[in-house]
Amino acid sequence: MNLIRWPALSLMLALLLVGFFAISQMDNNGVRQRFETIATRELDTVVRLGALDVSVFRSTLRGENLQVTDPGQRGRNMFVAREFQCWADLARFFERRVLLNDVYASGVYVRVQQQRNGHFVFLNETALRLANYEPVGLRIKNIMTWTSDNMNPLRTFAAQKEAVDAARHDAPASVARDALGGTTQVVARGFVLRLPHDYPDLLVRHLTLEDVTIEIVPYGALTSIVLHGISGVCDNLSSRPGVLPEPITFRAQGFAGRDWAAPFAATGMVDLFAGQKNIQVDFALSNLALRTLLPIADVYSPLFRLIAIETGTLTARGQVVLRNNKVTPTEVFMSVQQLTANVNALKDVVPWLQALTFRDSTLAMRVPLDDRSPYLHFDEAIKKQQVSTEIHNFELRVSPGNANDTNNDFLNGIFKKALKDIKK
Amino acid sequence: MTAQEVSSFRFSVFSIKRLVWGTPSALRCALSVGAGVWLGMQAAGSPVWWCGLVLALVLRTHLPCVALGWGAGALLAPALAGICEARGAAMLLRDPAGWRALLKKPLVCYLDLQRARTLGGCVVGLYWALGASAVSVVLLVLGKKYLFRRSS
Repeated sequence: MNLIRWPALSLMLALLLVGFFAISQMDNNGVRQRFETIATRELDTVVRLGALDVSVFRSTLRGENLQVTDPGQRGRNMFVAREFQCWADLARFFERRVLLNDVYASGVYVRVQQQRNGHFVFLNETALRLANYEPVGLRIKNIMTWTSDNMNPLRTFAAQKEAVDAARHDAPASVARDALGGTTQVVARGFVLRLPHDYPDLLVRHLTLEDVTIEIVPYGALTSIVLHGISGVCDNLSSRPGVLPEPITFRAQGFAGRDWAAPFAATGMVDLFAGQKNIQVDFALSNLALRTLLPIADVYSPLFRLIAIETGTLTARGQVVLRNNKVTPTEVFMSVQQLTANVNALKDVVPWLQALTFRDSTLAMRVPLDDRSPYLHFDEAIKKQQVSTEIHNFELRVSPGNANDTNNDFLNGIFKKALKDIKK
Repeated sequence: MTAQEVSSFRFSVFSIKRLVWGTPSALRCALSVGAGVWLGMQAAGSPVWWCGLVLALVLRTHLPCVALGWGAGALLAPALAGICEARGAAMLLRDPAGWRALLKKPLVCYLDLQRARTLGGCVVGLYWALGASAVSVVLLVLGKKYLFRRSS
């Protein structure tokens, strides 16, 4: 007895082959629209994708003009990628994972917002409030999960329907009770065995970025700091860094300031394997206009609000090391050239001070860095005499004070000391 | 109606019946009914359901019997949902490590068998499919004998 319908089998194999190699190429517009719909819903903002070209045969995905609108300021983008291209490992699709061997992106623009507590976030505070109290990380994780599921050509089955169908029927109480113990997962309806994730669902082995622009918006400031012309590479970027033994490594270089040639470079390593958190970043920057940095620094120390800097450029280099999420003490070398500033605002704190102005001065210091807030200790650098300065033009105006007001008298202390010396 | 017309009508009805139903053996009919019952008990559109459907189409099953069994399975599914869930959970909890090792294999990971409802549906569906096949084969054999006796 002939057990197999050979025509049906041949037809199915043909359909499978066509589906595998042709449909994804023909249906790019559908995939693009679906991507836009899901990403718009998940991020709660408008996501647009100019063009998408998926080729299963070549295992590539190429997109152009990806735009994510800032929910806080409609009409303004918070992320743009002019061009991106991914080369995937097809064999991993059979394991329900996405391994992108090589990803290239150029013309990327990211807008980062500083919060009141000094942290930097991808979405601004207005957007976070609009996000219905759902963490942004969760939304991004949803998008990554969706991407790893839907980029996979084998994912043709409607698994979601199965999940909905399974959820329609309640699990018996005894099953739910049994499932509470052990390394298992109990969902609201139906029992699901938690599968181990011994390998990331989405892994980017090598990411190359070119012509990246990062706009940092300081908290409460009108002007933003622009890092532009950034190019760099990043390895082992994954959705689950805790299960990947290889650390994330990166190196980048670019320019800071919109119309200022201030080059910077950074290289580092992030190791989050098996719950540890070891980070090491080496950085160097030069010729950075201090005025551009002040709006960011304001949040971390009230001292910066008292300094009015007219000109001055910063050169710095150093290393930031975190071992198990704890900052290891290091030193950061900083040098400020051509500093022209006044600290006249200090007269509210120091009554005898009328004016204090530096012009064309140079300042070099080795600033200790450790895990105590505010992490960079300028006061300790001065105490340890790790500061050298060359002041070319210095102006200090003081109030001599009067005899009745001993607290505010600048010269009072000096006279008292002199009188004591004479009495002796 | 003349005898010739009656004969012609009988012939045409028989032809249509033969065209639709064919001349399947009792065993083929019974196994097809079983396959249909199993398919009906799975959630339509799930990976396991698609696999079953492809197998039913590729293997030389008797499609009308599959459809009949499918209807019966679909009627049974809501009533057996709780049993499927319990059975699946019990199986998964008996050897979680073994299941984890199996369910992360390539292609198997797409079947969503880590869900108790899916795994239980497959196993309970298999029991009911075997039961339906056994009942069908008995009924078909007895029916054929009865019809043979009646015609002779």
